[in-house]
Amino acid sequence: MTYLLQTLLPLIFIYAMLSVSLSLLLGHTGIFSMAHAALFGVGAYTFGVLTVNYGWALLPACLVAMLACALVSALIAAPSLRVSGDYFVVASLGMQVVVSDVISNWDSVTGGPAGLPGVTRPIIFGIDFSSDAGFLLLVAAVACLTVAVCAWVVRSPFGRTLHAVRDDELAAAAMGKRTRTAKIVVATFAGAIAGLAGVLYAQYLFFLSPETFVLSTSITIITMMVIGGMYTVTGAALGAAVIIALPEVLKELDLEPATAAALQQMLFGALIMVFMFVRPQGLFGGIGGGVSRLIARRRLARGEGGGLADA
Amino acid sequence: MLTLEGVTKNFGGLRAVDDATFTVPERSVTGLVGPNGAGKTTTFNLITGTLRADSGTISFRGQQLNGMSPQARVGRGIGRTFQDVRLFPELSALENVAMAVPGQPGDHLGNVLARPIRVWRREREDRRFARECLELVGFDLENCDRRARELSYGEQKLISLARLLALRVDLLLLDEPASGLDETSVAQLKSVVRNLIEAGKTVLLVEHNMLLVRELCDHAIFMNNGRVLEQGAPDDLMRDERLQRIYLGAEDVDAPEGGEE
Repeated sequence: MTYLLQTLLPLIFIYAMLSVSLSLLLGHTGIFSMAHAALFGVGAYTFGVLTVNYGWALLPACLVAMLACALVSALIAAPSLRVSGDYFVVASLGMQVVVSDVISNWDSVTGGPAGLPGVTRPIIFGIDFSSDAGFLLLVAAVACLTVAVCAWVVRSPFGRTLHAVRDDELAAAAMGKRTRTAKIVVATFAGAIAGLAGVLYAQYLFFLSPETFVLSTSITIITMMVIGGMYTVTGAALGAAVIIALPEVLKELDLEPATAAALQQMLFGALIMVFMFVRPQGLFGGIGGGVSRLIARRRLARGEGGGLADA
Repeated sequence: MLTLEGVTKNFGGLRAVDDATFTVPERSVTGLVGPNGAGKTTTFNLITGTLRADSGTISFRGQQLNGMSPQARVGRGIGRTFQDVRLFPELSALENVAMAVPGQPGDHLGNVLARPIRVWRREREDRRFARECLELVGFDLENCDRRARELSYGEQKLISLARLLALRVDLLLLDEPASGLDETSVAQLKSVVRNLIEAGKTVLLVEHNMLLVRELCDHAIFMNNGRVLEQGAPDDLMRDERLQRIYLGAEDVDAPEGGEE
């Protein structure tokens, strides 16, 4: 139980942030990105390198890490979204490969394959978050805040414009919306969230290994988002819980570690396909906000809704 | 208000719009008519900036539009509906209209994050306005919160008209607004267009329902093979036997008696 609370839960919260951030791109805007693990890594390593090698304070290092991720994400988005969404897939894949190569080969800065040890956890307003329980609290708070902010963003007029871009970009432009700007802005925002997740991850493990931020991690994040539901923020977040818990279930099967790892990737691939065909809205979300729609329908049934009532 | 001069657009070897010159006077309803493939929708696309003209000039209130993005043209006061409706299928009817309201602070992520209360208050107003627009076109407000893709073609058509009203432009381009509408909705459409003119707006429409064109339009422009053949009062154009032959020759049936579907 303690193992579960202190080891798995923070990881679930961190990956929930990544999954939600990716859902802003794919579920809400229709941009398919393969580079989320790269952004995650840029955040983690920027934070790690600044605090460990250069002795920066944690908060400014965290902000710079988020900024760096936002920048990298905008860097993929700006030129490729000018043309069409397909180019973004390729550009993000390229960025993923470049970033993981840089991390594992730039030995003097990142520590290369040996990794980067010595990351520390924060003390904020005199509260020490370095214990496992304290850190869990911090991660939970940050993740819940992130999810809440994202839920507001997708319900805001900005979110509505993203949905319009996803559904029919030409019509959105005909309604005066700057569609390319909206896409670059959301990519930047999603990048910053992935960076924040990276910062928390560095603190969670105290140690960074280049193997964490490779393409297969991007695929893991995509799986979480697809299974949980890419069209709702809560769905995408809950998907992380399912996928992080899955290896623990596989452990019970008593497989060789190598077999288990391979099996897991195969399972993820199969799950993505099954869900895309059978249940594209994922386990936890109907498209367009399941919960709020349900409430609206209830109100309608009780004769309160339909619009005339609160007009 | 809107003037096209020698506007030409080629698609490969096909000259879709050929040296088109006409003027849309302010506070008028102008009909753009002609057989299918005459270049009417292409002309719309050139005016709204979805397509760029190969030559010729398009000016609006004395200002050249050539080279301006579609968004900038909306900003100048030109908006449109689409022949194939093009709503946002996953958005609700109300959201489809509310998204078009210009100048929303909530359209910028910075405001959404830093000034949520202001964004939320303004959003409430914009939704109310969107509801008014829907009411104005005769859309059943019971269906406000249903997704656009769940609604019938006729209802979608009304939403797209309401969406254009919400855009608050001065020149409204309507691409076959009456096709697919039942009689009650067509009547509603007529009164909406008349109210728009009353309110000082200008309308340019493409329509195959000649009865509607005759009733609604002050002025009609007849196009064929990308060229403007004739302009004048709708009644005069409809009496012109040469135009009738072209119209009926290129299309099979039904034009003068009262529209399609």
